[in-house]
Amino acid sequence: MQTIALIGNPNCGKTTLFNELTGITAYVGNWPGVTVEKKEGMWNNIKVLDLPGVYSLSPYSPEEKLSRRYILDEQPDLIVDVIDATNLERSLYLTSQLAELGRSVLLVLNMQDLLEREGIVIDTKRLSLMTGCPVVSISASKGIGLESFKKEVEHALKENKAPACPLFSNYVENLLTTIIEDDYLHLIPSGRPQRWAAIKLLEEDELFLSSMPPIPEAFAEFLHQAKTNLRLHFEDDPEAIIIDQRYKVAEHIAKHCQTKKFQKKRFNFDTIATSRFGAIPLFIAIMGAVFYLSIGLVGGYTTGILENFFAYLGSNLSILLDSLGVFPLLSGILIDGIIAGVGSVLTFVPQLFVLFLLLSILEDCGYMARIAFIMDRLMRTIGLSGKSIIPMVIGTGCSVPAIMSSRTIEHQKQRELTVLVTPFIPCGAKMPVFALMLTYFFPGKWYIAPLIYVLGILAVIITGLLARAIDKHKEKNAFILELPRYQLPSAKNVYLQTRERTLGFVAKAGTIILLSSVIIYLLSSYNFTLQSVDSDDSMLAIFGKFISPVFIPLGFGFWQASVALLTGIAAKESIVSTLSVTMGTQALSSFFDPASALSYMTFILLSSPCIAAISAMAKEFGNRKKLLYALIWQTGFAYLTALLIRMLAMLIL
Amino acid sequence: MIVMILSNIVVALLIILMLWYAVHTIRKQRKEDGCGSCKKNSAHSCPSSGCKGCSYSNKCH
Repeated sequence: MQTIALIGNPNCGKTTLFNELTGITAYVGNWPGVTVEKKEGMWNNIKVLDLPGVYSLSPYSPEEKLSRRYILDEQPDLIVDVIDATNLERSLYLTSQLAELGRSVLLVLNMQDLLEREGIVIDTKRLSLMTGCPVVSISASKGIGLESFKKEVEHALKENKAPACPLFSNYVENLLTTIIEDDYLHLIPSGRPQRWAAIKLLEEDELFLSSMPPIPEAFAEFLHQAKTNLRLHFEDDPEAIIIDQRYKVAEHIAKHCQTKKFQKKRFNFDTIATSRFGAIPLFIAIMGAVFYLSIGLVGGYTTGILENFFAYLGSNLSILLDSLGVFPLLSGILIDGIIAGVGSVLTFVPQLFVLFLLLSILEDCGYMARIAFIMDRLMRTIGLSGKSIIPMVIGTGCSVPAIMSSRTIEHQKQRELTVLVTPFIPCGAKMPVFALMLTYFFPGKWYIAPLIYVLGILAVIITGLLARAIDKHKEKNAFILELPRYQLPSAKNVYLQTRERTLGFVAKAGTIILLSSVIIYLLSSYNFTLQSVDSDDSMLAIFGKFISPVFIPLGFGFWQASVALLTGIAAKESIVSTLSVTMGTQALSSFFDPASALSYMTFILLSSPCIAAISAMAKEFGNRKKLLYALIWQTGFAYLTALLIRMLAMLIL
Repeated sequence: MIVMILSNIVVALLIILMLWYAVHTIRKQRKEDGCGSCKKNSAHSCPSSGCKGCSYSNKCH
């Protein structure tokens, strides 16, 4: 079977093209760094691979290493170089590196629909002549040009023609020719062209050198002398010289193939969205509006209606089952277990749907990437990478993919710190708990919901500052984030993301929540001799009373709340269903007061995440000890913060 | 009496069906999130075959 690999700069539309070709609905985001894993799919009996976005094949970041390793080791039959047509010159830098590999390359100019608006004209015939690669223009998001793409792929696979190798200055070319003539170059692993290997030797590419036998002394001496001469000639180090040579090639080709018309300066929203003083207030205002619309407006209407519906369903079913003589055990499991537990979670579906919809729109229109830009400086001040904001934004949906996306961070300590703090950002699963508490204890005070996010961000900052203070070897790195252009959100992307998140929530209600509701009902209705008892004497109560004293200082030292926290380890939504089954949501106010409700929300927000997120953390840390420290820190920090919040709330409220 | 027996059987079956569905779905999801979606395909190369399993565990084969 033939294989084609999609490669290109971040956010150039590879995953959109991959989805169009394969019919797979892989997550597409309007920001760089969405794809951190390689994805596979089938298209016309051809295996299609979507590789993470890279700016070069130099192995600096994990995704660059992954893409390069795949291209070199797996040797796809055709490399499809997806180019953002509005950023031709920058994209051609990667093209020049791909051409050095001597494999068949197809250039795909994506986003051709935006060229006219940007006043850009590209001579595709000339581009093809200068690069030696076939060129095709498409718009993956609009499905334009896919027929031509198909023909070009078939043609390129049939021809299997290597592209033209980019030529550097005479001085560098002469040097490369001399290096290639040495016998040592015959030892390179198969599939690596000699010219490419010679460049890697000049660049002192560690990944390449580690795959080669030791360099003989005479040749090492020659290389050393060659690099010294190169330094003297160009007054720069060899790696920088090669980068400069490649950029010159890219600039030369772009200059001859592309013409730009003068464009009138238009109003740019970024003058507000990324400004020093306006950015943060705008962000708070936007997030406030999102929560007002979802939890305040929609939640305010629908929560009561759905609660009444499930209560009506439960009471009528109870009457019916009683009249039919159904055993109390069975009717109890069905009504007080399943309907009460699952129903209490499903109550929040409409407001979460609106929340997920609005967050998806913000992501797809390109605003979320601006938040990364705004937070970059702050993140670096607290010892995190600017890239750390990306997992945190993804974490508003679910912590599992968010933790995984931290792989794009190059430095290990920054990556591990990001994994540690990402669960502080409230995920969608925690929302029902917050919505429940807000509905009962803070009706109409919708502004508390964004404050939960602010608290999560504060937890990130405090943890970062502490980690930075402890760490003696501070890592510093520049964060280059390309701001994606603003676009009208694609209905398809928004629909897919909202559907995935909402269905995921409903699916949890029908699986984990259902199971835990039945177990909680049985444990809270029977004692250890399996006699039906009042819930206060049940197995669950005995166990809950054992751990609940720990939470007395936090204001929720009763067994129902403690047990709910434990079930929350399976899935955070379980907290709502457990509270509903053990005490009934209507009775919440006889257990909690506003101060202890705030303290409970704080503890849930900051304590250890669910088991799926813990597994993801374990994988990213790769070390049980580190995971244990992380969980202890999260839970300990949650405890202290919840205590502080309760004390403050008791003073204020 | 028959109505009572039948009602109990129907309710019990309904609960069992829901529990079975929940367990079945969780197991299926675990497989997908684990290596189940990748193990069948020996052509996949771990750890980066792109299957869901590989994104959670380093190798499936």
